[in-house]
Amino acid sequence: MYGSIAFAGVGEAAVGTERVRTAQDLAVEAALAAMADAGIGPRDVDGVITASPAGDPHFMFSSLVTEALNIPARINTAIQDAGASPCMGVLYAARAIAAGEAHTVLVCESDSRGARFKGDKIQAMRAARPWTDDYEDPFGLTVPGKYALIAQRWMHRHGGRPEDLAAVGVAAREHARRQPHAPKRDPLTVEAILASQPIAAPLRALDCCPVADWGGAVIVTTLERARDMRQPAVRLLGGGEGHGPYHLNENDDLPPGAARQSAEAAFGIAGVKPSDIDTAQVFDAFSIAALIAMEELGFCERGQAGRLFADGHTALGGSIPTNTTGGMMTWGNAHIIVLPEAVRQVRGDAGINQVHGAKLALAHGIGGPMSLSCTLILGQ
Amino acid sequence: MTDAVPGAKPSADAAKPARPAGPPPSKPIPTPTDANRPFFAGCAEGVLRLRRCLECGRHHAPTRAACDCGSVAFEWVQVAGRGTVFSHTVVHRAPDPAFRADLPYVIAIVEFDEGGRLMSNLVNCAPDAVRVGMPVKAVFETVAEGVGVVKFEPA
Repeated sequence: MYGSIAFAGVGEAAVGTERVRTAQDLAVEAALAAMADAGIGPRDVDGVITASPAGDPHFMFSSLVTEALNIPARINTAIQDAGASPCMGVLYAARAIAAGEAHTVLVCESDSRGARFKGDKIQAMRAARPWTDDYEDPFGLTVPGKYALIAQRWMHRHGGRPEDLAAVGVAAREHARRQPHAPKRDPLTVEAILASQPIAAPLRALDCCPVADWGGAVIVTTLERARDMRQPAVRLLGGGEGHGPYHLNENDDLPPGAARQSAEAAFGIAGVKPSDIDTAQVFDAFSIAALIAMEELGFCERGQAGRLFADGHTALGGSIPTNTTGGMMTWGNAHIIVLPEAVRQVRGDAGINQVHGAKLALAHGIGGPMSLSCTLILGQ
Repeated sequence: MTDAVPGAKPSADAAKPARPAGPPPSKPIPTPTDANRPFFAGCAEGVLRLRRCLECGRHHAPTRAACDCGSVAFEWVQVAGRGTVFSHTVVHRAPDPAFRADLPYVIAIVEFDEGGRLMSNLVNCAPDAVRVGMPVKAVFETVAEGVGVVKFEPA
């Protein structure tokens, strides 16, 4: 399967909340952009895999997208792997294509959190779901709190400092600043991050991504079909999943092992190693997530990721340019942001933040507080 | 595709809390099931019970139905409720108005001396004083008839 599955198109919905769009609208907008990029239409697609939006939760969300686009779907499902959903969706699409159950699959993720969750974002997001967890909810746990528990353990084990966490936001802003349409273009300093509002110690406001609307989509198909489409084909060379417990207290240790498991599987299949990767697009909804991603994916030793970001290794021209869009730290919790960017980097059309000569890209997602993880390796 | 659609859901609706206006906000209360009632009922009686594997003796949180050794045979056993902080955070932004009065509060993962871990609040302790490895002991709160939760305080 790997090597003979390809990305044929990528696209995003326009950024911003000035217009009224549901998660379905955002998915459709992104899907049309990805199809246009590939030079195909909805009737050329025969599979749909979506994530499950929090802003407009809807039973069988993928069927809404299939309906809106009138896609003659042979496979259709909405997966619930949170921040890993887009990368996991690609894996499921690849498996379906390899099994002959579909030939061209739309994988998309969209959410309307920016439009729907007003005021106190933490409270608004929590209020969008019922109290369901008798082992977390009674104690006032938040999503940032989960990542904070991971961060505190990481700092304890490795002597990590708040400055290590802050290095992620500073690096993200440097990538964002070069882009004319980025939401924030002024320089961001470690001091400013350390002075931002505490959310769940050791995480502060600027350790957490903004809450936004987003829509992103990729077209996954056979290499053969992709070669007949509009854009240069980008191959899926390897992929892997990692899984562990849902509840943080049930992990043998923190960080959970899912990211490392997914990376080892993906690198093994692709037959490459971390030092071969030209650019990494990793999950960075929280600063600690990006630090742990870089360590667990094998780009540095455990405990060293703060230095990796602070010393410019993740910048353009560094050893592993990372989250070249500015990531979720810049654009909000659009988990799928990793996929179009990884594809564009390999195609050589990533624009102002193109990594010169990029041939191999890694895309990565994390679901829950690192309960599950997915790593993909893309190449020419 | 880019036009705003008249009649689309106003965003304010979705941001409203699910709970009806009127009564003061209350924290969520566990709803015991047949599978976990010994745990939550024990907490109401001031007793901490964990699940112990009948094959290898490991202790587990109530969420586990299978042991590391593969066994699915468990018994509920009373444990001393003493352990150490495995990790912790100080919450400064609450998930619900019901928790606002507690801010800032500590959430910790506690590792029991017998083995097994739970997540809960660490109380009766200055938030800045919490450290990984700190010894703690269980304290209990009854939150409904026959339903309790376990929290921890410095030992």
